[in-house]
Amino acid sequence: MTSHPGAAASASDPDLVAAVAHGDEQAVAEVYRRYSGAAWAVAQRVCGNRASAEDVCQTVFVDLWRRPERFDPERGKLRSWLVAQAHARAVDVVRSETARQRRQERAARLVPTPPPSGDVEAASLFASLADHVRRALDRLAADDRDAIVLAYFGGHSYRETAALLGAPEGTVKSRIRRGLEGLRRMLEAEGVTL
Amino acid sequence: MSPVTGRPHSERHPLDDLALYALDALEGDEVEDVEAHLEVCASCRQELAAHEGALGALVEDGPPPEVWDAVQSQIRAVEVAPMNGTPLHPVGPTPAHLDQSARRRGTRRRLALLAAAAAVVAVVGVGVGTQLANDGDGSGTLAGVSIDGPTVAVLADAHGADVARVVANDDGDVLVLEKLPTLAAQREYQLWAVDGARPVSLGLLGDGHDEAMPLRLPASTTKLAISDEPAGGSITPTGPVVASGTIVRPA
Repeated sequence: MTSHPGAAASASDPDLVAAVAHGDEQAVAEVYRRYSGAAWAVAQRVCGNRASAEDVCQTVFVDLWRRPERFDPERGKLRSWLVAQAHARAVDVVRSETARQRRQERAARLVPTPPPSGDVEAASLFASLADHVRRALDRLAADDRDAIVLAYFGGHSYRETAALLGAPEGTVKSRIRRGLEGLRRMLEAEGVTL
Repeated sequence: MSPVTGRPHSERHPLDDLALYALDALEGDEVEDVEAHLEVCASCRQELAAHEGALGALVEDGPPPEVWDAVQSQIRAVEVAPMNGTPLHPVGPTPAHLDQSARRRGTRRRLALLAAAAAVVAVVGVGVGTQLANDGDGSGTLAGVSIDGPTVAVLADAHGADVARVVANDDGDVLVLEKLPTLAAQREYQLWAVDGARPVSLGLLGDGHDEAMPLRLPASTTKLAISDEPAGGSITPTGPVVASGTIVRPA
């Protein structure tokens, strides 16, 4: 293969990933140029700190280099896939950090600080989102929106989300699914290709 | 794509859990249960992809982090150079806490098990250089590649003869190869940025016969070099440097 400098910029996403699989560093640089902003945004949002977000972002792109076959172009877009990878990594970081804090509190015999109210945390997370994201989420029922915001942007499991919201786990499951399906319908109605 | 809804589906498909899975909101064995179902259920794979698409739309594009250097150093820590066309396998470590936690939770193993084997099977060329016809003064346009802009870098060989140059057109830089020597069989020219401690590959140049090709240089690049490499290129320069030069842009 002969890959010419600058030409990667016009390649399709699946072609770029195919080139990455054959060790084309230019191709992974182009993927990074296109989507590191989105991966970075979700990592920073969930991790809440720059150092962890940098680790997450780095890992996502190194993983793409090491295992490009994990991306299946038949299943979705590269951007969505990379965002999902970054989100999963960021959630790992948040949960391991939370576990570490709990261990430290036990070791120091500290009284754990009471968890923040789910409503307050959801409102705080929601307020920090970009305008267009807030507008999209704001069209969901408030209960559905809070559950999605806590789980996705807060990095909480559905059980933690249920505890934060004081709602039964089954109810939170239903809210998340209903909210996500509603979001999809809205985006599709607006012509956003998923 | 519409959500997979309706009673008959929801009895067969774990749709609530699938939504939670898309949000990384499941715990422990629940993740594996969903992944086991995804492995055998195409409609749920489609459903998951649509969920991920919607969630991806919720993420604004932030500024790219300045971690490219770290990514680059890891992907270059390779076991062997890619002379046989096989993919490279870096040996650089992934941050340990991330790797371990991902394995523990089976994070995104989903995609490993879902990816179609045929997804990445062929080398795909991402561009082709264009044969250049000079107008005598070195400017001209052929097959859509203009070289009418000012020359911002001249790459000279060891004897000081100019063999390539970079032209800054209004719509971007173009690398013009003019007098590179004919290569031996199974060899190829490769362009490098040589500003830092280690050369950074900017791509393969083919046989170097008169060509003009669009060039998108990293902003920090000022020093360029062309080396003679085995066909398919190298991770770091292994062959002789046949030309080098510095970019000097008008103020």
